Amino acid sequence: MIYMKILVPIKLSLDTSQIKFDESTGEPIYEAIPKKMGDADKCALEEALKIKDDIGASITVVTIGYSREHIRMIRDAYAMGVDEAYIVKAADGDKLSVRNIAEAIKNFIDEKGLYDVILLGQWSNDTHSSTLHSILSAMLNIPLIPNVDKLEYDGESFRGLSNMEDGIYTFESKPPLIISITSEANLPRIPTLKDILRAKRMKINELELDKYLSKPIYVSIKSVKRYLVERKKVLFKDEEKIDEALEKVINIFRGEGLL
Amino acid sequence: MDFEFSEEEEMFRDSVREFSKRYIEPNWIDIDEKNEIPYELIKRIADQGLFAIPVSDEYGGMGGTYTMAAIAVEEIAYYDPAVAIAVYVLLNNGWPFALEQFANEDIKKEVLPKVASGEAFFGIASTEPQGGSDVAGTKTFAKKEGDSWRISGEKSFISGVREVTSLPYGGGWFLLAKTGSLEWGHKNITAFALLPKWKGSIKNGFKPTIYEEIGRGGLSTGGFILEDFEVEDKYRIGDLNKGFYYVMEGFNLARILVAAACIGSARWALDTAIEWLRNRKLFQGRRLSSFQGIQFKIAELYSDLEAARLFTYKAAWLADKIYIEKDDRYNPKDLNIPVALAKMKAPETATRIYEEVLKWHGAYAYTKESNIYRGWIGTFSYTIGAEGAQNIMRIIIARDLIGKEYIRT
Repeated sequence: MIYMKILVPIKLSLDTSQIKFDESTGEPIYEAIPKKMGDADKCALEEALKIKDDIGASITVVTIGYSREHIRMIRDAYAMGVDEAYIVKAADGDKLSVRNIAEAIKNFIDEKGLYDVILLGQWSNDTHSSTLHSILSAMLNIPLIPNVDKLEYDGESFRGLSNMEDGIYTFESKPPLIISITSEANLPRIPTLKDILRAKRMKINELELDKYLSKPIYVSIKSVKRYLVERKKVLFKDEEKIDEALEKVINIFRGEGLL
Repeated sequence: MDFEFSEEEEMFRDSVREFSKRYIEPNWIDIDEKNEIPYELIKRIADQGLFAIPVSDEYGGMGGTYTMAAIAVEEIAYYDPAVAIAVYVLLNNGWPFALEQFANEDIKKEVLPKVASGEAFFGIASTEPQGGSDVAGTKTFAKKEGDSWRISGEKSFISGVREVTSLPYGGGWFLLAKTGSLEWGHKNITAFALLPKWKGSIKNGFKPTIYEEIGRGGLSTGGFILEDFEVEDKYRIGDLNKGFYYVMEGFNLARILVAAACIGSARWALDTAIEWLRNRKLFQGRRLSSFQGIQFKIAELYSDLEAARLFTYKAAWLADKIYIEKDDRYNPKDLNIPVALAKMKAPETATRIYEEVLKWHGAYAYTKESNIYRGWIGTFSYTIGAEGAQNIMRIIIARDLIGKEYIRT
């Protein structure tokens, strides 16, 4: 059996499915929005677990931050089947710049030794920068297969299928490499009670941020404004000609300032 | 005092919620309509570890707690408000757990792993045609013949009759039969693990009937006649003539989960209604939720629901103290009042919530398209009976408060 060392960096993100928006302003109401492991991160973890099921692997997760919710996220990862977990203690970890996060992960990898595969979520639920994988790839000087919807391994190389805007790409590369996974790649497993009880007994390794990051730079979201959707009914009569109807639509768009 | 669930309990609730959203919510209406929970779903529930949750690992159980069983049933009922799947899960938790408490090692090792794996169903068969609340009036009787018993009689309104006969492996019930004199009384009743279909074949002397019920369609209710049905003595549960006591403890355990099913379904009804009231506009764009008549009613119903929930989880917590932690400060009788409070409050609260929710939805609620009626009818069944009639709960509470000697007529 092939045995692989896999690292999955995971981020605590806002559970965007629980966000409610103010109907009049389009601004999100942030109060009491729960946080959870990012959807794409969870899919990345599921891909790692599939590799473990298929060919054998040890999976490590690392996260940056320090709260009850971070601990809970690590327990969730253990319940899914992770072997080892690290938390880099940082009070405002979710506000660190992507460059900082990449640097901290790189330093963590330098300390622990290079992993065969580093699987990341394509982006986080709340910040959407989608750049961590490329920065980390440059820092570690290893190849990147980006935005993978479907991942395969033939015993030598990984093949990732990526659905880009202009078509479907298939990338191939040998380990060590970085692979970013989309939130459409799979349906992550749901831990059973036995998995959860086992997770409770697993150790969470705590690390100090200053050992992995020399100069923290913080970036935070100041505001989010959702596009307001206004439904308007435009009725066309059956007897209207298509050209006339289209002209009517164009005039309505002009009137609304859309053209 | 600690009103928080533990981290594992929260994680477990989230996992059951995720599971239910993925596999139960898309199917509950179809299941209610077709009167059957597909075996693939039963297997999936088993693979997720949602049967035999509080049963020990050594008997194939999940090694969890009774509180966790209540959490699972509540969450499933939220996504299956018609409660058939929730009740299937509650039966396959409550009665296997009761079996673990009283049965011999051989039965536990034979039956419990099959229930946990979803291959077998295990429920309760105590009600008879002459009545369900009068357990001491059981007429089914068992006669000893060598190493076996010959059981004859009739049981009615029994959950899982079709499931026992249709599951590939089979299953059965915690059954009561008179083993001494046939006179009215509770000191001559013995419990058996009745397994009319086991290892895939139906035994002689078992004649099942399926009833046509008005709700909770996915789980069957029926009856059966036993004619000289042979049960080996090894399937006797516990001591001779102690069955009444065992089944009363079993009822206490199962009632906690019945209450959990009702509060899960009622939570769904209230959430569904609040969403509707927020968005439904009448009288020149006024939201229904802006009427104080509705706001006050929501507050009252929610307070009842929260009270029922507290009763339910207090009873589950106490069951853990007694049966899981074996805390010698408590004994099984301590469960009587907390459980009766939960079982009395939860179904009646659910019914009240559904009645209001149906009215708030107007005429639409009276159509089959709205599906709210499915939860209403499903939870209503528990105001009638099932694991104990509502007035039996009142008797239990009043008897303890007033004193046994003061309530005799």
